Amino acid sequence: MAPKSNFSKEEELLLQDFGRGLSAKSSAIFYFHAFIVSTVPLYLFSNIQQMFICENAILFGIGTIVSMYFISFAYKNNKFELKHKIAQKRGDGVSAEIHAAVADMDGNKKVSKKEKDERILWRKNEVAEAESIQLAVFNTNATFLAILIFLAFLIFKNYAPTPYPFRLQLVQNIILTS
Amino acid sequence: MNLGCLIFYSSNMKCVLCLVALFAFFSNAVIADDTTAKLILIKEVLNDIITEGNDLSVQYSLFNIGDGPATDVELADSDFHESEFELVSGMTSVKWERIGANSNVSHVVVVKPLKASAFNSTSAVVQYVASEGAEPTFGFSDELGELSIISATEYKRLHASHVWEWFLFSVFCIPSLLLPYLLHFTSKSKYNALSAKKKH
Repeated sequence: MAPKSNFSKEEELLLQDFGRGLSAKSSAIFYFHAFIVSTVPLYLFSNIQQMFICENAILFGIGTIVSMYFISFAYKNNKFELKHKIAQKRGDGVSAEIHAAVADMDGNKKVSKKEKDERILWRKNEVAEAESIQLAVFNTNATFLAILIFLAFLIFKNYAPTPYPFRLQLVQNIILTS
Repeated sequence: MNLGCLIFYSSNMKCVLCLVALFAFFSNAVIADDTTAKLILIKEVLNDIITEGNDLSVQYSLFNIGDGPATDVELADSDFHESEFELVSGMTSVKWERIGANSNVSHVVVVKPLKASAFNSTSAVVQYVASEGAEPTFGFSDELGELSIISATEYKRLHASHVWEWFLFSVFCIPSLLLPYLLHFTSKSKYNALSAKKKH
């Protein structure tokens, strides 16, 4: 029987910081934004395409839930890719911030280099996490809305009888593969 | 003497023939006073798009191409039933006492379709007296055929400008687009400034 490989605490911390997993806060932010961006186009469908919400409630409900799932999946992928790039770019700025913060601290308390490096790493991860979440949300939302509007109101404008699910599925597939 | 008689009789014949010709000419002139009217009725829809709940304008034009006036002119169109159309202005039965020769009249009826469906438009009928003492003459307009009346929903979908809807949509997109970008931009600017300061 092969021995189980247990990760050390440090390794688990590294996995948490640099892996694809999301914290509860990040997941909540992603689902909130996915819900908003999935429901906003319903206003256009009801007022421009005259697909009234009462008449198409089930279709819109299913479409919104499916859309939320795929968009949050796209957020997660996009955020993972952006985080590493942003972390590299913010290195100098974060270290400057930490050095300034340490210098402002009480002069008697000396901070070791190791502790400074750990603080810089932690802060860099924190800043990269926050910025990558915001940028992933913006990029994914902009792509989703642009493709949805282009397909729904230009290409498939007169598609009958129910253009909504076809367009949404197409957009989601495009975002997922991007 | 015989020759003289011949000449006399031939000149008399010529006079008689001239008189006969003149009589025929003026008799034709007398017959020309007994003229008849001939009316042409044209029915046309003035709208480009016919929509349920919106006004539909139909114009009837009567042209008298005959030599004489048309009297007791009556125009009737039974296309617009009360169950399917609401009369807004004009009348579907109109009378004119006289339409002179080489003149024309027109009449516009405005109705409002109450249902969105295909509508089969038939001819309007005109009845008139073509000449004095004659029996009434009937004429028919052109048939417009099948007209499509689209619903108000379909009209809004296809032809409304939707400027207000797009404006509101762009407002609704602010939390999804503008806010995340501003947060990212603020953080990016801050750390870029710190990085630039450190290098100097």
